[in-house]
Amino acid sequence: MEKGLIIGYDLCKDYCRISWFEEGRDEPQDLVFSDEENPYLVQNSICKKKGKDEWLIGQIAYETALLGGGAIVDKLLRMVAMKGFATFEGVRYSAEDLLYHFLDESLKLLFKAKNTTEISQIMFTVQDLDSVVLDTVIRCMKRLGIERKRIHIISHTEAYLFFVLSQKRELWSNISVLYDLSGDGLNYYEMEVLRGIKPNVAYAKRTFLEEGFSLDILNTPAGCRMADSIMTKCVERMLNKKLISSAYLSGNGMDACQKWGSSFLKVLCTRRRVFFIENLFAKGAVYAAGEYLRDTSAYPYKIMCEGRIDVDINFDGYKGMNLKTLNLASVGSNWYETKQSFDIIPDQETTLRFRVRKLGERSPLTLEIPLTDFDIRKNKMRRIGVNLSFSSENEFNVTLKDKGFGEFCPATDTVIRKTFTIS
Amino acid sequence: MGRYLLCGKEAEVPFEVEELDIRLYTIEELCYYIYHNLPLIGDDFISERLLHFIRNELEMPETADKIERFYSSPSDQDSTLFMLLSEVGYYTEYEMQEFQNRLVFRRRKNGPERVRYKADSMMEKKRYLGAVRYYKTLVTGERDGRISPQFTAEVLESIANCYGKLCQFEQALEYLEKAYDQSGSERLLKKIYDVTVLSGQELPEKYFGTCSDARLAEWQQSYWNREAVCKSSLEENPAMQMFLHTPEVMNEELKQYVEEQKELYRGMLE
Repeated sequence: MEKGLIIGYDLCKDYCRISWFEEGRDEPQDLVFSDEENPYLVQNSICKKKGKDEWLIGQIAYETALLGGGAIVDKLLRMVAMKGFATFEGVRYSAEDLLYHFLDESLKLLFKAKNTTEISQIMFTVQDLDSVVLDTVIRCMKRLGIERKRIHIISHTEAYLFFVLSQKRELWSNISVLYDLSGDGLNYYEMEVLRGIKPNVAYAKRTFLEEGFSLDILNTPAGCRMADSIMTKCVERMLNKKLISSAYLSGNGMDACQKWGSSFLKVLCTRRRVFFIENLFAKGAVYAAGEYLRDTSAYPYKIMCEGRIDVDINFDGYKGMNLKTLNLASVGSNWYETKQSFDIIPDQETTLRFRVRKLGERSPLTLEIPLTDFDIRKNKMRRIGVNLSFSSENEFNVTLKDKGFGEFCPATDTVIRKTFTIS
Repeated sequence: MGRYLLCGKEAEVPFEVEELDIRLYTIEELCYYIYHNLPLIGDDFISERLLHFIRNELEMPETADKIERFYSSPSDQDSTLFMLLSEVGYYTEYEMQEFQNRLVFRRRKNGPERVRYKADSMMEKKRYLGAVRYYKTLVTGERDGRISPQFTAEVLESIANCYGKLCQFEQALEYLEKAYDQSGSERLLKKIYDVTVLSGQELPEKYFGTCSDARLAEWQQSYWNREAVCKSSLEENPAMQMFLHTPEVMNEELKQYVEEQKELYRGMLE
């Protein structure tokens, strides 16, 4: 196995959690940030010490700011998504700069605990795959000197799926569910392996539940009773008649659920195996990161969930005299990491065609891009650079660039862009 | 029905073609060059340099190995080129058939004819001094038994044409006279007349002393007619339209035009 840490980094809107895989242990370990009430998470807040180039994160950042030792910024991920700025001592810092320092400081804690700075693979997991956030995280990690091939990002849904698949088979022989309660609300996740399709599909989905409540209500007995009642109804409504192999609870809202949710736990635990898992998403991310170190997958399934593509995209072209099909995207691949670039020369063609086939559908759909925006030229005298990338699991962008034909025919600046939505 | 060709890698260090002073970056460009410039391809075209380009720059070691296996002497060149073009698939079967015919046509030519074929091709591509260099190898030094006086006269006339295109009228006249001495063709005499008048020189007594006044008058009229046609076509030349624009636009366009012409002229001298 490659040297270095295999890290799962759960980057939520308000806090983050880190787990890592240690050789010789069966399960990923969780990083302890402090000896506070919940030692496994650190708030997404960063403070710059007054007059010094020192950065503090989490609880200590709040404390320092309260004592007037520096200025603080919290809810960092929201700020990144909005491409915001903050000014400390007359210097303007972009959200990206702040995230860079935050990641740096948080990873330093792990490096200190593990006495190493080497990273073999790092898998971030976020609730929403916002391309602005994802790009920023990647750039920050590259600034920290981590190679791009070692940095990956998946959704919480996928991290949950990997977590469940890494448990004993009996825990996911039927449906596995998760209730995640945090400051962002209540999310319900469901995962099962669809065995009727070849290869088998491991499928997971997330549902944001409107019943979600603010964690502040848990501070009063009346609020606790209300929360218990809400969750009980939720479980009764959602899990009724479902064959559940395992149920999980996670999120800082569930930390003390044994105190406030007696009825809810009673309903949930009836004839079901229920687990409360600290760092569930971070642990799932560690399992997913481990996949990049294996020659053959430990999970022989097509993964279908938020962040994964459910279509095959193919392009037909000639290599020599033989017709060849280029697979540009395949079912189950991560949309953020699916990027393809290749060059083609049209021969008596004025339209570019992609064959798109959705999972489970027999006949493919043909998507076309007319090349009429390019200037008229002699046949086969234009090399076109084709770039395909996804902006979400349901949307992909194609860019066509006129690269000319060497010194025989110079390139023009013409670029054709087209976005396709997969319904 | 159309198709798409999937391209190979673009080279970082291109393959330079000295004859045309161009650089090739891809296997498709190499095929295009071979297909359209067959006369320029000499016996030394398949070389270590070419194999290195295909193997390392284009990252096509299998194709390079195949060429190495195919090619053992210059006599294998045609079949090797055909194999290379077929392998890459840039040309259709129909185009490959045409290429095969051109290979046969080239193969049928003897040594001097092949040199002339190459020089003609360079002249067509406006590489005039390059063409002159090849033409001169046919008319200087020891006489090749396969070269007829007619062939020599045609080559000399081609040299004169090249010099004429470069506006070097003295040299053009020199080679036209040599060509006329070889063939005695009246067409060449008329050409000598035109170039002499164009360059503002006296008609040489040696050639025109015996010409009748009527014939000279006829040639003069023909010269004037062509001069008038040239002048009118010059006015219709898109380049002349530049002078109708505003001074700023005109300056920009003129600058660009002069740069283009300079580049073209540099090519002519190579």
